[in-house]
Amino acid sequence: MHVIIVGAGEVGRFLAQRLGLEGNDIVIVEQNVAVAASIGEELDVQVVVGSATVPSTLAAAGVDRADLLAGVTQNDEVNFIASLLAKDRGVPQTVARIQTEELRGPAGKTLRDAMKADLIIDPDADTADEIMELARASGADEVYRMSDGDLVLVGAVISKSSALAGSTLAEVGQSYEPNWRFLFGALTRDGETVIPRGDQRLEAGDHVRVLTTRSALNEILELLGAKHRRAKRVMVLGGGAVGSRVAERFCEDGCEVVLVEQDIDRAKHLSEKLPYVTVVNGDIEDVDLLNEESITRMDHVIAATGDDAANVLACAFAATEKRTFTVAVLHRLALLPLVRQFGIDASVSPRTASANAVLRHVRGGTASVATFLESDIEVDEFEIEADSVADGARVADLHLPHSIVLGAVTREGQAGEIVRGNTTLHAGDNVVVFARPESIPALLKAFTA
Amino acid sequence: MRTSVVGRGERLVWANRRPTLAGHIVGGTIMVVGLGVFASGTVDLVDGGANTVVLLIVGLVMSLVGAVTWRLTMTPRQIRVLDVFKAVTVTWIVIAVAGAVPYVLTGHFVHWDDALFESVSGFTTTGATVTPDIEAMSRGLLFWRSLSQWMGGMGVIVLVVAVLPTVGSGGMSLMQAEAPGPTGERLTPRVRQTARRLWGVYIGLTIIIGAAYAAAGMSLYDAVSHSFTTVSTGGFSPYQASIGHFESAAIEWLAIVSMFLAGGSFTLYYRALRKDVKPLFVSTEFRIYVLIVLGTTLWCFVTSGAGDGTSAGFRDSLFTMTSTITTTGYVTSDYGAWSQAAQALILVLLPIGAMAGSTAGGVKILRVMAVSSFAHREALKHLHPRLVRPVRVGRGILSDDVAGKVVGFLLLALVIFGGGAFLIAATGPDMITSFSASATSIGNVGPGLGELDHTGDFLVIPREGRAIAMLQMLLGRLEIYPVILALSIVTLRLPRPGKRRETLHH
Repeated sequence: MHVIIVGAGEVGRFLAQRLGLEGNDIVIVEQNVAVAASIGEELDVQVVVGSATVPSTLAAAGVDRADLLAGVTQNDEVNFIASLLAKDRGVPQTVARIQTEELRGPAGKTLRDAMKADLIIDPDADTADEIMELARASGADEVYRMSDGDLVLVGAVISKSSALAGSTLAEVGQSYEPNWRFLFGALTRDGETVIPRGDQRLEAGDHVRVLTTRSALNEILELLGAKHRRAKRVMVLGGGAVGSRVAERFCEDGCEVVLVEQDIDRAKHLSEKLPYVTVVNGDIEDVDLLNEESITRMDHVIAATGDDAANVLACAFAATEKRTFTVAVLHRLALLPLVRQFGIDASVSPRTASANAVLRHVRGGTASVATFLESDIEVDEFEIEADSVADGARVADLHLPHSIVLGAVTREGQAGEIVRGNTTLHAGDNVVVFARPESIPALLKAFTA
Repeated sequence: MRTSVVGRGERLVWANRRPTLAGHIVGGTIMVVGLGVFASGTVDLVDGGANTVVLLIVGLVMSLVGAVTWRLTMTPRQIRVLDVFKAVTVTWIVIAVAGAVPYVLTGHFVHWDDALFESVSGFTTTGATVTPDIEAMSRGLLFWRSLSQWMGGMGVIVLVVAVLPTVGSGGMSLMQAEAPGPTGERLTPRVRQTARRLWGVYIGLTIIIGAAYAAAGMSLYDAVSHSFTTVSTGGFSPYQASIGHFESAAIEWLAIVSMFLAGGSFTLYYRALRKDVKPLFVSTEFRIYVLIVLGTTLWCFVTSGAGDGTSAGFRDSLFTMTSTITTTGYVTSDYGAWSQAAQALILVLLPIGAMAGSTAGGVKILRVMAVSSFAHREALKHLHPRLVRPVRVGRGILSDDVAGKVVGFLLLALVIFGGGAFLIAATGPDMITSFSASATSIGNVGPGLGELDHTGDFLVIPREGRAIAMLQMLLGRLEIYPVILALSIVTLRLPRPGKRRETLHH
């Protein structure tokens, strides 16, 4: 597939990397010469320097043979025009990033129709969604809904008090025969993530991703020894696009929300827009201010400024009191290994949030995609087509690579079922899988006719 | 303007016009006031009263003097803020004096300051009186008394801006300085249109209320007089017993509804007439207004009989409370005999007033809301020292400088209320009388408590005390700032280096 990505920012880079791993040809259009040069060194992609609002630049990027154009710059207008030009030149799929809230609502419908983009994304809104999912299932550090919400993928750290610590997955599986209600899909220890096998022993401090049904979510969190409590007092640090959305939603959930914003004009604007949020003006690295607002007595602290270091520091400070559940927004993935050392409970990145949406769209048949911040393992959902290899076959007979684990299957009118070796698949089934990107083609081969 | 020598006559006149805003506005308003006096003379003529000649002549002379002044002056090209406040204050003082002329020349008042008090009380829609026997006045003069309230209700200057074509750009600030209430909201892009619409609603409401009064059994003369003083929330009545004179439940209910309407925002009414009813009903101020009227009525109804008080009927409670909150000042019942609990509530309500943008006096509910929000923020700042929070009024937001002005206003109002009460008490009356006199003057209500209750009039207060009350009425009607700023001109005009250039300019 020939893919053009407009804008080499966080989202653009992450998308290029992800789609490149799946064997697509990537061309990045970037206006800034220095940024363009650096990305050429970093990734195996072609870089075209110039503005995507100019047809000749797009022609240089090979727009005529492109299968997908993703406009993901910070600038709505550029994304809009690039998408429009691409559609005009016959590109079948376009994705545009639109950040202006009003344009995403009913008032922007005419414009969106005119743009003809197949998918509209907003990294900040997606990030806010992820944060809210985390907060509502507090204790988990990752929550993704799969299969329209029937299944939940939850990430959590196994605590010392957990009953599971010390046993192998096979032992855990035996104790829950015959009906498994959860499946361990990925395990991270010392910075390395693997798809675990039956002989894998769980230890306290392991970070696991568990696929489970929505109703069993709380049960599994308790089993892992992850904390679980309802938030009443929330502090949001940073009143940007992410922070203000999160503050607003917590407020709607009936929480008492304190929002810290550094820029006085922005703070004033927010205080007018969010009448029930306590808006405080100050620097989040100012410890006096954080103490003044009693940060350590909060149930949740969400650090969502544009400055990663400040987010980590503030969360680390808040985490000195064990009660507080902290979430840091991180823009640079390199910082991730550090985060858990500081006692920060969860971290979210705007780039993965939106990239998931784009990947989902690109895969076409996939209903939902989740990617993990620190590893290349992803979780996808596929539908099995009629007359494919998988139709009517037992899972054990499919002989899929070791880098793929089938997690759960949902059928029309039934609750999600955890996949076992003897599960028989049928056409029309939705299957959630844990996989490394390079093995996705093998899976698609088995699932499509 | 040497070219005017070879120009046409019209240019000559134009060249001779003096650019003075205060003079121009004074001219226009005196003309309007003169027409009002003349109209009262006509009423007296029809009625066969004793003051016909005096009223007609005074009216004619005033109109002429006003018209000439109007023609000889013009709005300056550049209008400073101070000019506006000066013009408004000077105009109000001049019309108060002009309005007193008929009272003096008809020989009704012996003392000129009594006549001035009656005139100030009229134009400021206070409705306090120093006439010992109202019914002894000629009907023409009584009509003038009611008419002066009607003119003062929406504001004479607003009327001038609406009718006369030459005010132009300074009009909005003039209106903001004069029209009651802090809503300087433009209904249309052009000031004159806005002024016309406000007066249109005002006149329309007057006609409806007048017709309703007539239908409820008042004579045409009574209906017109009372509609004037109801819609302006003035409270003058040609009868000693006020609305109680008619002893009619229908008229009292009608008066309650009319007073309530007059206490609502005229800008919202205008919008409602334009099929935009929503702003009126979602207005937080309107809801609070309704709640205050109902709540205080209930309180009075329940507590009026407590202790030594005589209990009041529901209609009497509702009437008295509506009359007090809308600062009208009509009376039907002897609320002076109610319990202390009920009377204390009246004293508290006297200076508050009804909605902003209505003809009611007082500090207005909107300002109280703003100050409450301000106080709430300051309290929260103890918990969150670096809190950022706007001052909210219902759904709206006041910028910090406007909020500051409102707080300053309330503070000044408090000083003027307290200081005035102290000074009035110093001239002799007892404490309750003095405090209620001060409250009723600054709130432009009319009746008070103690010796000023339903039967009393301001004659119980000595002349010096009445002078203070007069000043308070003017301060209350013009909402303090214009008067204070105009007075500050005096200090600004003290000789200093820049002074010489200014005189050369003229």
